[in-house]
Amino acid sequence: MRWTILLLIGVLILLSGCAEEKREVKIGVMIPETGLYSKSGAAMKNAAELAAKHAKEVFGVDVKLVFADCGDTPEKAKSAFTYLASQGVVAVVGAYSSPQSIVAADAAKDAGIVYLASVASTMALEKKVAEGNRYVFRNSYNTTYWGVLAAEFLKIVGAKSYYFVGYDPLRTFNSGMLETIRSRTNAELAGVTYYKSPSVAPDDYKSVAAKVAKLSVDVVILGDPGPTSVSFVREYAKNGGKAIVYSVGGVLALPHVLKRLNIDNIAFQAAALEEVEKTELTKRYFEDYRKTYGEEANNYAGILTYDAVLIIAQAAKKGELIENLEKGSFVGAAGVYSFNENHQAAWGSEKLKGTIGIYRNGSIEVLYP
Amino acid sequence: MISEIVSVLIFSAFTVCILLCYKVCRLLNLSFGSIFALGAHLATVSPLLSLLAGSIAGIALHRATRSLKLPEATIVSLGFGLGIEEAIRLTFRGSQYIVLPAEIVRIVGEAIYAATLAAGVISAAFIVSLLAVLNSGIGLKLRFVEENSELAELYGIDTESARLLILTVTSALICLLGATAGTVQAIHPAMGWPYLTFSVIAATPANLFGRHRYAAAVLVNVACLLWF
Repeated sequence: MRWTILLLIGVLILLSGCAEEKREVKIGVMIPETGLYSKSGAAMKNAAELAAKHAKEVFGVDVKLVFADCGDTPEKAKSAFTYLASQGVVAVVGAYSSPQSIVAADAAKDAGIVYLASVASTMALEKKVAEGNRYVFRNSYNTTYWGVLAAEFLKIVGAKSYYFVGYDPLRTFNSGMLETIRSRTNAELAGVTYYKSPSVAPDDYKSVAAKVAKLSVDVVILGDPGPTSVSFVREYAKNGGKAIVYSVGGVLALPHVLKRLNIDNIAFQAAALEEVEKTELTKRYFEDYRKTYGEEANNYAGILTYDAVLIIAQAAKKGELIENLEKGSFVGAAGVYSFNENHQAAWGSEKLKGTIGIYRNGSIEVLYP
Repeated sequence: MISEIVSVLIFSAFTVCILLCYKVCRLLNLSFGSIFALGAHLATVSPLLSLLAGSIAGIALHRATRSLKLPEATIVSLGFGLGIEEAIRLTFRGSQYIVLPAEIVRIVGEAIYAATLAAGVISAAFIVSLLAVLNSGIGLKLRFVEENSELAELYGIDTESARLLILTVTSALICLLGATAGTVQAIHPAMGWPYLTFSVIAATPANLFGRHRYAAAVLVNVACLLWF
């Protein structure tokens, strides 16, 4: 009898172990399906679905995704988070703008669910962690790293002078980035201008582009990742601007946009480029994305949402999620992630670096790393 | 300078369309932003298609709002616009912005996009034609409808046809302007909202000028350009 009971206990332990290994990881994904960021939302959704597929193929983890539309406002992001929390997810990734990520970070603390921000750059997230919110992590760049990459670019091209053109609605992000650039470069800052949102002043970008085109500087740093950046570079070139335009990415990091514009010397940062194989997942991501969705994959929000899903899948495999995220390292398409004491991905470390490309003579050339 | 004049003309036409719909059709037409984006997306096929699509959108909006009062009609126009935007999103799926090649021409030494110049010419023609019509016999009837549509109807003016005409023409024009913008800007479903927002703001002071509101729309846009 005793042996039978012991045998039964043994079998139960074994079975529970198997169940643990094969359990499904349910991840919530906040994507802006509607509103201003819906184009990026489409890339984020595609990338997340691809990540779930790759999690199974590469890491043997079954991932079930639950999507919620976070629109373009913090209010919608909060509703989306609340909905996802009610679906029993182990973690939530995504959201787009900084105000949305701040709201999601607070909601994560209230719900006791991990939130991994995959796009927003606000330093407020790191501050929240420092103040005791252990549920928040970020795998995208923080504002400082945006500046680090721009300063690196100035160094690579040997720029002696540069002009900073910011986008007024992103003034906090842009000015934080500029502060870092100034502290890390010897190149002379020839001036700073912010153009207003087209909703407020529809042609402001045109007058800024015309003004900057007349200046003799080596580089124009453009802090607008949105569609107005396309109009800006067109106006800049139309007005005879000759400097290299370094964009923070976004729309101007998309190969088909650069080819259609066909303006030489537009440089941009990207979390990863197909040409730079950072991990075994880089090529796989770009190839499978193109094969599955029929378009190019280097959307910043898309690739980092892909990595965010994979990070959670790897961390949730065993044990306590927060502890694993704090101590482990995780493979993604953009590099190998580990998180610092403020739960910020260690961008700039040996295994995790952003990339810089430049469009010249009809093709993209990688400048960094 | 030519670039600035063209911009003023385009935004003035947009503002005039808002005012016409508000005064004659009794609705603040919030679907214009999406109709503009529709035109831009159709520019990838043929800019002329946008004229047809805009007209159809105008007729559809007329039918959906003809028996409604101003607040309800405005809300319906917003819903109608959101519906168009969603339809664009479903039709032009994918995460990529569309960018079309743009041709540059030189006018008195100044470089300007050919499509933008065309938009300026179309806008100028629309505003001039409207001002001419308003000073004709048809214009008198239109002003009567603007002042008191119920009374105008009692006096035998076909207010329903006037409403249909205004909604069709303004929607077709906005869609065409969208098509011209589509060859210069990055195309996306929400690209018309800045135009709508700005024009509604410009229409507010212009409307204070009573029967001169359409001419005032141009002046307000000039003032806005100088201000910003």
